[in-house]
Amino acid sequence: MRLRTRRVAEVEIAALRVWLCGGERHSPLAGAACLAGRMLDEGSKARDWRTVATAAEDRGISVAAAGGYEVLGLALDGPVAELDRMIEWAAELALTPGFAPDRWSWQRQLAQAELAALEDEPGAITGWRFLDQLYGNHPRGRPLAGTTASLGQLEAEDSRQFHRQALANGVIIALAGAIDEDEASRRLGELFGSAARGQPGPLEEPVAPSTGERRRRVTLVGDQAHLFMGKRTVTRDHDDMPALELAAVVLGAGAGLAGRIPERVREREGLAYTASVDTVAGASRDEGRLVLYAATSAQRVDQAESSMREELERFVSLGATEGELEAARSFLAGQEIFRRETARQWAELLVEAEFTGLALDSPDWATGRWAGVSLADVKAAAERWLDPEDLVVTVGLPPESNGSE
Amino acid sequence: MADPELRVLANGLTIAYLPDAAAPLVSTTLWYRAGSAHESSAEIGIAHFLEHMMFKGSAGFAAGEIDQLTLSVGGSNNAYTSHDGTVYVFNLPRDDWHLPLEIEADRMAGLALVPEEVDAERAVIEEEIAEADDDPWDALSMRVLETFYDGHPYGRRILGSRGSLGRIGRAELERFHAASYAPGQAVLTIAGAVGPEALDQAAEIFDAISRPSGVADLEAPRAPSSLSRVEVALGETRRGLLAMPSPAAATAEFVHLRMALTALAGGRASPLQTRLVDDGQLCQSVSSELTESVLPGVATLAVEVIPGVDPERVEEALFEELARLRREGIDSAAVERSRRLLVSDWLFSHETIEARGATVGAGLALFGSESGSGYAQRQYQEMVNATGEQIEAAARRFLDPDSGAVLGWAGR
Repeated sequence: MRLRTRRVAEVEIAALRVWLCGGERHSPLAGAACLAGRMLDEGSKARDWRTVATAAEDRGISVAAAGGYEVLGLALDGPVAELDRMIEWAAELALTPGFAPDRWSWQRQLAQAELAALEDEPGAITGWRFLDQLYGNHPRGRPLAGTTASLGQLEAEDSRQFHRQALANGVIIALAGAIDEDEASRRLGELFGSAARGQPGPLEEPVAPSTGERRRRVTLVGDQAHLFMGKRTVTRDHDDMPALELAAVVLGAGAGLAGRIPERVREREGLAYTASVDTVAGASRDEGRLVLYAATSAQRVDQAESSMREELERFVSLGATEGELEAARSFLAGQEIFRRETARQWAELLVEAEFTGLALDSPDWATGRWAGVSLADVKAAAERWLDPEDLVVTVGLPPESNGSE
Repeated sequence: MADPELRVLANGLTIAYLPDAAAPLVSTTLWYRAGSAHESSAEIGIAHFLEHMMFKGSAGFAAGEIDQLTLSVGGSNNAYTSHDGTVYVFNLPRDDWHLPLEIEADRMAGLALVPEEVDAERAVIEEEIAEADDDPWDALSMRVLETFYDGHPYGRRILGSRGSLGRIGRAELERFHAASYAPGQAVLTIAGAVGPEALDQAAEIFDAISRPSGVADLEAPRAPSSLSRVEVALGETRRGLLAMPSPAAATAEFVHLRMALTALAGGRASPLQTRLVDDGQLCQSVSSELTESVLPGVATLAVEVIPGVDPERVEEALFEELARLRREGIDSAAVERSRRLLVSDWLFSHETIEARGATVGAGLALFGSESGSGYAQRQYQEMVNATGEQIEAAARRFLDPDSGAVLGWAGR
């Protein structure tokens, strides 16, 4: 077990995060990690879900569990006076979950229902198809929860086995709040001390195949068009990561509607309410992605595409200006303060820092990464990773529309 | 939460200063007591349209410059329009605390409202409307609230419609701004790691702005007197929304009703969650919400049905649990559970300086708080002190669909 703690004394609360090292990227069957994660708040070998939920709610404690892309996670937030119980319950649920068959079946049915509900969201459907186009059959290319069909193929034993493996791979814990760090660490050590420390492995190296399909049209039920353009970029520990983060802010991932893409597509041309950019979306041990997104009318989707493409071309060929780069640096550095305000934020930062091995919890580390990036670095990274000639395009369009194809 | 220092300027602007050195940042909110309920029926959507135009140029700041400046100092900003008011928020590192004051004063004094910018922003809002139209929950809730409020401005769509936006141009926006964004209609909060000099400097910056306000008081909506139903044919999943009356936010009864709803549907162990979700396995989710409004508003219960389940079974179970709550009341364990859940939620939701500042601003601007934190403190104390009888009385009075409610279903 690896542990990080932080005293955040402003409010009498505590936030506890427990991560088990294994997620959907390690799952041979889509959705196995999702279901294994969901089972972590479904009761333990000693107590059923109702007993856990009632006891927690009686004390004002929230318990939430999920299966993510790289980890299974358990989150307990509550009054600091209840910290001993929170720690005990976290150990009980994470180390000895019950996996009652009836609860597993119900969680599978719930996951399938949630996927069905998401299919009513045209943007979500187009986004899934875009991921599939970018990453092919790599786990990055599928919905985190799997699909209705893949969930249907799973057995309860798949989830149980997945949890066992994730637990064996290692446990990472973070605790923040108005806590006595020594006492809490001692108690966590007693309960989790025998859990493994390591990272998941061995892992296949994540080179995602391309589907080779440059442009895809999805027929939607809604009236709006949803345009996704992008390409795979870098992993979270790649040397170009800081330059690409700065590039994202220059292009439009910063404050309000500042940035080249929203300024052009929304502010100047009035084409979309939502126009967003990211250069490293979903970066993990696997490559993240450049995503240019706009929700617009079917009649104007071609114009939105060409405007976004032109802005990207201009950025890659000419780079950022000194003023843009300085503003982007200031923005990212300033936002670091806001990521460290609450106990829950600290717990999330600490557990992620410990998992990734990056000093995410240190504002100096983050600021230092961006301080060392020059205009030439940003341009070079853009040329390497943001080539507008190499974009795949997914367009979700209403059935009667002639746009874009 | 500590009381802020308050100052009311000669022009009517209220400024609240809430020192808080927990983090090296500052958060400002500027509340205007003018929202979409204060529009004329010919100009529906103008309050929200104006909110957009506040970023599109004023005497001292060109279109887009506010976002650029915010970005360059490492901050963020946002704005929201509700039926009761409109609020502008800045969160910045502490050294730049004066920037939002300069921006807010400049755009309170007047806007550029360049016709080309007005036209471009109208097109943006039309896209925002299209996004909402494609969203089953948005479409359902709009339809339900329109029916619930039956012509009262609280039932208006905040975004307006393509038709109503087409009638709004520079002149209409200018008129709405002049009347609704006068200093006497506004409350400014400055919260965070900034010294007391902020109050004097803010007063100096805003002091020169002076004009009368022209926002009329609204009459309270009349709650429906029977149960009516609406349908929205959007989406495959069946989604249900039951809207029942609720008291105004600044009343003790509002807190009692919130506790009743939490006892009924808050947390997995609550009767409605177990009946519909974990035991009954009829729904994938159940949630409750209480609108925090100046006038009496709406309490809602929302359900998302498992595919293949007949919505009538959900409706029957939902109404039975409401009837049980009214008939049998709430035992002391459920009262305590509700109290602890809400107190925890209150603590977590006030962790950030922005949230503490926003609560003070809302209390002063909308909910009759005289001491700044008075509204929040009153709500908290009501939560701590509420008795089972008070909570049951609120449930019996408000959570009775047959006495007046709207039930909407979306999906096919």
